[in-house]
Amino acid sequence: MARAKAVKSQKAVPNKAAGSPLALYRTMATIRAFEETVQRLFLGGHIPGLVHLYMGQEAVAAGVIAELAQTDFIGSHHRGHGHCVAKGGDLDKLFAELLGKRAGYGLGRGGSMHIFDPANGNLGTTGIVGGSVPLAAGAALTAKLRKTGQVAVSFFGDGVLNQGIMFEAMNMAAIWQLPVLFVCENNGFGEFTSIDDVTAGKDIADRGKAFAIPSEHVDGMDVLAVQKAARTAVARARDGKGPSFLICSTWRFSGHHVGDKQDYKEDAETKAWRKRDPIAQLARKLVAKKQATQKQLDAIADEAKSAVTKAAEAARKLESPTPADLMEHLYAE
Amino acid sequence: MPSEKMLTVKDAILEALFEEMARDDRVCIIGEDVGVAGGVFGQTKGLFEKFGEARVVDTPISEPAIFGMTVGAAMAGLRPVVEVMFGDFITLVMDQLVNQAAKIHYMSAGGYTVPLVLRTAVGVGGNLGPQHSQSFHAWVAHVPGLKVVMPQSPADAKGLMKAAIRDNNPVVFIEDRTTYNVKGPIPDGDVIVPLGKANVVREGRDVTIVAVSRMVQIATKAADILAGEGIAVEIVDPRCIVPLDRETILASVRKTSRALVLDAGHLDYGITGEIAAIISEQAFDYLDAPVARLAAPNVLIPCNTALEPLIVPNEQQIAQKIREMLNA
Amino acid sequence: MPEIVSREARLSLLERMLLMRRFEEAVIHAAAKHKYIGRNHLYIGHEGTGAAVMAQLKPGDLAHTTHRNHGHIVGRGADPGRALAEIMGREGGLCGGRGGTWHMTDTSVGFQSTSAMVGGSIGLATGGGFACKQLGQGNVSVALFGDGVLDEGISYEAFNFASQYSLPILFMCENNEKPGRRETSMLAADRLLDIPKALKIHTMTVDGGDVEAVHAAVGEALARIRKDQVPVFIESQIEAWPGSHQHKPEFTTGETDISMAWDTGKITGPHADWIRQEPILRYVRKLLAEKAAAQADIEALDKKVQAKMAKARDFAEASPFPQAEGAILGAFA
Ligand SMILES: Cc1ncc(C[n+]2csc(CCOP(=O)(O)OP(=O)(O)O)c2C)c(N)n1
Ligand SMILES: [Mg+2]
Repeated sequence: MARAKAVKSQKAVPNKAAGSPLALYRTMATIRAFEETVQRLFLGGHIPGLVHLYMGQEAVAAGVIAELAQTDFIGSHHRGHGHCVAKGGDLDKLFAELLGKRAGYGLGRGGSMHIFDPANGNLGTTGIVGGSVPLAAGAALTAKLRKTGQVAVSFFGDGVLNQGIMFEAMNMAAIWQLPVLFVCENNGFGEFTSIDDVTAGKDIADRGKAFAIPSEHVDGMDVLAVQKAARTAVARARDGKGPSFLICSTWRFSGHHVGDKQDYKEDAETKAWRKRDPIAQLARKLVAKKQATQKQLDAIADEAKSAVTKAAEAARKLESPTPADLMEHLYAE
Repeated sequence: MPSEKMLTVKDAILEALFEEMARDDRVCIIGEDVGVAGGVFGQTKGLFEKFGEARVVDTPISEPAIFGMTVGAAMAGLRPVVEVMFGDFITLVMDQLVNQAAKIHYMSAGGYTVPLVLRTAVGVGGNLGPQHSQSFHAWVAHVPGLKVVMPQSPADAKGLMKAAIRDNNPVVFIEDRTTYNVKGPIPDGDVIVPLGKANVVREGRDVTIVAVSRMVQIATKAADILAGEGIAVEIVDPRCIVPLDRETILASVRKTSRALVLDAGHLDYGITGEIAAIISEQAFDYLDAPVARLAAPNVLIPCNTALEPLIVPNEQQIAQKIREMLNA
Repeated sequence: MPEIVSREARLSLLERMLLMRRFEEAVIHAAAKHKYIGRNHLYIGHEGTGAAVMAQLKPGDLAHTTHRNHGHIVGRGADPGRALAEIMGREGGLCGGRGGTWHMTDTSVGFQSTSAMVGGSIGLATGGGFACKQLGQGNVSVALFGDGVLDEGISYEAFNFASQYSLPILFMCENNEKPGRRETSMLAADRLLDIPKALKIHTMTVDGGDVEAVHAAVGEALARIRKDQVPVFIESQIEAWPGSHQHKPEFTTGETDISMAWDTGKITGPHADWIRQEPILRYVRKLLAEKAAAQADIEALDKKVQAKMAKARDFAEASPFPQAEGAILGAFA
């Protein structure tokens, strides 16, 4: 395929569903409640393995995914619960998966880092840094070749910035003008290594610009800013104008994984970021602009919390997979 | 049948691609130099002209991302055939193959399928040296979730390629370059060779040879030599090493009571060990001699006319081994 | 900036280029004579780059190259007889005849490796730069590679690492992609240099057909690399030889007739344009015009090189094939 010209997709997929500020608030509150519950369950010994929490980064998943239709694709990463929830994942099935129950998305065999939700276009969380970047680009390739009008979003952490596969995927997305968004969730750290110590160049955006991909920095703590940037990028993708690169600066409130003491971060820094908590920030704005009352917002948060709690409690009572489930789905029919 | 047409292995696979692309517009070809250039071996010749650049996609030299994108494209509804130019370069796609493609169907509890074919050319010959001659079929066969096909005859190559494309799993389709110009009859029509069904290429009562791909052809030469000495060799070609048709192998060994397993890949930790173990575990009581193996020595493949022929077992070595087995 | 001032230095540069050219011609002859020799990526047309680099490396400097390697290796001072013997698979070859064209090394002249894997040299050379820095002896590492290597993710990983850790590396890219063919190119970047630039690597671009220009650029780069311990990326733009990409090498443009430099009427045929701009004839014309050498000097130099190559050829032809017993030795140190 030679360098692509802009071809407008045939069926544009309209979507206005989840984009209102209150809907964004609800999504973020749900993610926060979800992660708080996961943390509690994990510390209580109910969740096997390792979990990476999305707390603090809610605005990125909520803001970007609000601009997508159910049929659009996302590729997630190891810190992926937020994306799964925002993309419409079923809370019952999500908790079931995390708790290792048979009713989970992967029969409870995958857990946090292997959640796939085809009905909602979720190409999966992954345990491999950079693993889902080409998957999203590939889904975008399908969308383009089959002219479905779908777009794909690849969410990845700053650690992926130094994986060659990200450049390879960006390059191909650019030459073929694939309908894909590369969304870097820059929370400043790889596992415990500061991005500044390992990432060359004065501006991450240059990495996308070198391939002539429109690349911009976005305040990842401001859900409205994220939504706005995503709206432009998604429209560009749907118009056949190719990929975009969004770098969302954000912070992980609970460290790399549950139990991380975070002694590699400055307390003052964390405090400063916490002041910019994306949920509280949106609440302040909505109240100030009189778009919502605090009471309304509290009610939304309470609803989110109780939905999450209910799902978590229900999941705890579910069955574990049976030995017969071990060999299931190794090969497709 | 004498009316059947004759094709080479390479052209037989190409014909399968033409037919499958015409049958199903989700099938597309992705890889380096597969389009305008028609493939570095001419193995995709004419596809670009017939199906156009949207379905025959020339890529940058970015194997990890090319393959990863193929996986994503398959999850989203295409049925891609992706080419890794030389089998040696499979090392570059190993992460996406092992950690993504092979895992997705299982981890999504069947929610996603990854119907793709990774085709690649392997083979020792022509002095291409240690980065262009290796056979990594044992590596991929070791990974649950991948199917591994290794054809040898033109008819099998065509029928297996069709089956691989229609399979809903990631299938690694390993072609031995040295068989590309082997000619053979091709049955008319849409003939599928199912994955996981072995073929008894030659019947014989004295000893069973289990071999795939090019080794079947070398084994046949050895069998011809031995036939002159009154030794009847049976050759079983599993055609796929995953899934492996154990029953056909075991039935043959139970009949002949002797088994020699051949491979063009390295001996140590390779597929000959696996097949020999299966025979020993499940047909031990029928054996009149220990299961024997011949494969490539555990050494790099030199780029050298004098040394390269020492890598793949030849018909003389095979014949000698069988004589020893019968005299033991 | 080191200029090539002395007449001796200029003639030595020309001699190096001639040796590279005559060597490749010997390879074409050998391939015609021996059926088993094939698949050679020849260095014809690239000499202006290789000679300029090799002329300026110091004894302890390291070099890693790619499939188009012959010129680099003989240019660095490896014995042309042993190099040819290697290509011919003879025991007297640089690697005992086991490596052939794609795996030639000669550590005695600091030639670390050839890799036939696209992208193979760049990672190794980056490691070489790391070692040079750690060992602190003022040596530099050189990665020689084609434009295709920028398609491979490992080049980004290497650039990032080299830049971030300030490693003394010369990234020498021989870009033989046709100008104007970028439309169908596989690289989305408008200019190759945009990529290393995005990773904050100092870049230069130079006309690969002008050996003195390359010499000046490389000289400046090496001085900077040694002084500041930083990587530099040079793109040398080369008009690809019409015989490139041939598996069995042939004399597409004929054996080089040095007198074409002054007797331009001899330049005819379908490839006349290429011959007119090729680096060796071009340099001879320059030396003649600037009166740095007379026709007779040039002819004498060429004769000297041809005599050297005749000896090399005799050596290679006389060298036996390796013994079979040796084949399985040497897999481990
Ligand atoms: C990893 C890998 N992929 C593919 C190939 C096959 N291949 C050999 S040379 C080549 C083209 C390289 O282009 P470039 O780097 O520009 O070098 P040039 O031949 O133009 O000098 C390719 C694709 C390979 N050897 N290694
Ligand atoms: Mg090139």
